[in-house]
Amino acid sequence: MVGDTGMNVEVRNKQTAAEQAASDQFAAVSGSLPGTDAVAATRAAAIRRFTEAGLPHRRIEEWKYTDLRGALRELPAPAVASDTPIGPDTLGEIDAWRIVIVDGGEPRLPDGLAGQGITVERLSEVLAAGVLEAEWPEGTPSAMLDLNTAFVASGVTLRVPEGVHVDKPIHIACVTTVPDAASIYLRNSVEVGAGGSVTVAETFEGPDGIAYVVNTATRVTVARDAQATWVKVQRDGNKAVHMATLASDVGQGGRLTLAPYTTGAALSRNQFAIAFAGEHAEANLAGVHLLCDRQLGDTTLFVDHALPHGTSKELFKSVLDDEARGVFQGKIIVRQDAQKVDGRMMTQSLMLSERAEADNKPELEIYADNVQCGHGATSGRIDEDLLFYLRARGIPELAAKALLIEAFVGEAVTAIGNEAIGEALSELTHEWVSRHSHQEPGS
Amino acid sequence: MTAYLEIKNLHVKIADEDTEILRGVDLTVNAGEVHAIMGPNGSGKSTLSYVLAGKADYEVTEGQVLFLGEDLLEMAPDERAAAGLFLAFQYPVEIPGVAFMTFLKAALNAQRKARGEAELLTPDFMRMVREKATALNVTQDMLKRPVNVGFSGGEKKRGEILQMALLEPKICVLDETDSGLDIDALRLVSEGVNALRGPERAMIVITHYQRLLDHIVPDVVHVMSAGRIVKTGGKELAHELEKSGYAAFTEAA
Ligand SMILES: Nc1ncnc2c1ncn2[C@@H]1O[C@H](COP(=O)(O)OP(=O)(O)O)[C@@H](O)[C@H]1O
Ligand SMILES: [Mg+2]
Repeated sequence: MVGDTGMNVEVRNKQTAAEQAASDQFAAVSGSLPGTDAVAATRAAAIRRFTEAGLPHRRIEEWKYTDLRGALRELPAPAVASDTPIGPDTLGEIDAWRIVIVDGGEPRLPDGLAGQGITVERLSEVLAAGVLEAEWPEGTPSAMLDLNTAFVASGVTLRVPEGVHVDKPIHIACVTTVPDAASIYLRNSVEVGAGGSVTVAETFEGPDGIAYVVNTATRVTVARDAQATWVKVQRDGNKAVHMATLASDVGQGGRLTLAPYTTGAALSRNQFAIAFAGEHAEANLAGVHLLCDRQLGDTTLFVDHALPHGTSKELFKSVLDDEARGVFQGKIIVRQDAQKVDGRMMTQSLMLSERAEADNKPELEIYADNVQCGHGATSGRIDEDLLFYLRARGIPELAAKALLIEAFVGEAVTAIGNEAIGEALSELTHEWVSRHSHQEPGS
Repeated sequence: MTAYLEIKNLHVKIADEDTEILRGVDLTVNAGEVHAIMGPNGSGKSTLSYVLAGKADYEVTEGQVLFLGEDLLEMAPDERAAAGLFLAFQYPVEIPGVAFMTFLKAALNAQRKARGEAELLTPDFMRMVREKATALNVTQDMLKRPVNVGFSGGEKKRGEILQMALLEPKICVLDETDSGLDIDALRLVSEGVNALRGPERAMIVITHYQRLLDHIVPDVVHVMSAGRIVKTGGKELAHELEKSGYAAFTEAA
């Protein structure tokens, strides 16, 4: 649909209902949001930026595949914190330190985590101390992040001291139980001190049929020679909108693994950024989209190689059924001083339906002359020869397809490098595949 | 007694194309028999094996195939396997992400399930695999690796025979199992195949060269040329072919 130019200008300037709702809601709740005056000022500045820019739409380059302004018809009011008991767990029974946040309420913390030497603060405490970060690095600022800054009241801040290796994963379960549409704002962060290590799994889940909005912002900081693995599992309800911003930096000799695993929500966007803050650092992204119906899942990554001898590797796997759309945009900048950088990006899509769509947009911007960078993208259907081989051994068609889909996803899951979490994700994949390796009409 | 396999006037073309590849094949294989099919490249040997296994690329335009008296062509590939048909592929495919061991277990249990038998317990399964793998010099490392990924030519063929040994089919079709094997590997694979010979099993051994038939001695030898079986004889026919070459038969066809 193309209107004449006059129309377009008018449409662009007019606030949408969702944009208007954001200002109204802010006026209504800002007085009761946690934080000092300085925090309140940061919030007010953020909502002003949001109002000026509006929601991103497809004429903005980084949002051309995900027209948020068109899709987000309404912005529900912030959720009222709930103490509903929570149901079954996304990660099953894995052995982890479990932090639970229900409907954007105060985090419920496990006993014994402090004994690990880790500091855990609730966001409300951080805000009471006057801290609300509004300056986010390149690749992350957006209207959604501004909304998060304006409204966020819940989340956890984890600090792993120097040399501490946390004995098991920390699981931050963000569970939505709202009975009606509501917006949930969260902000979690982890800082790993020099030589320390931790694995964090952030999971999101919620009810089907309710148009709730999750807006989450995450900071991951990996100091010198430290290691962090941040797994994000998104299984929000089928009518939900999920917007996530993640900024990370990795110091000298450090290693960071980001693993976004997306299978929920009608519309979701992961806006991730990795910045190299030291030499000889390594960053990996192991991502998965498992999408069906008319789901749209967008993972957009910005990697900033500012320093020499950095290694970055991305492996992104999408399985798309029905009329689902999977978007992967990966931009790698190698700045002039960043010699001897090794950057490899691979995206692979497995199409289970002819109506599904995979949009891959790799971008390499290289200003250094001695680097090794490359990207590749493949897209295809299940390989008939492999399918025949399995069937010739007695494995029925649907089971054979399931096995191949799970193997395809499994490569990215294995790249996370954590066995317990890998098994839990394989189980999620298995469940999804059992529901989706159906016979395609006409084949 | 019902024949294990009865192929009658089988005509096959490539689906979506007009070229006929099999042009009236007749072949009957009884319990306990080993038949060799020899013939020049391109004569249709692999096509015959694929059609028996149920590959979708081909279309049967005429004829019939009975497997233990049942209409084979009506069965899905996995049903054929569960009923006891096994094809050792000329070119086994690589399946990234599926460990060989996992695959073997999935295949065996799928067949047992289809036949209404209970699934094997993991310890029993592991013991069985280990025993048969050792005999074929299939290492633990191979069993852990994804199916055929990074396997040498010989390892792939040994892997096929291991599958055959585990699945205990009634009829085995071996397509060029000797290709790419050195003499030691050939002996090992042949021993594995010979160990499976028995009164309750039949085999079709497809090969281009006579040397395999020194190790797996057939009861009957057929020569295939241009999509037909043009000559049938005893094991001495293989030696005759080795001396005179295929040319005489190709012209006869
Ligand atoms: N899927 C296919 N598509 C096109 N041509 C094929 C296909 N399969 C076999 N053919 C052709 O059919 C003929 C017989 O091939 P094949 O059965 O592989 O012979 P053999 O195994 O005896 O060497 C060859 O000419 C080959 O090119
Ligand atoms: Mg062949």
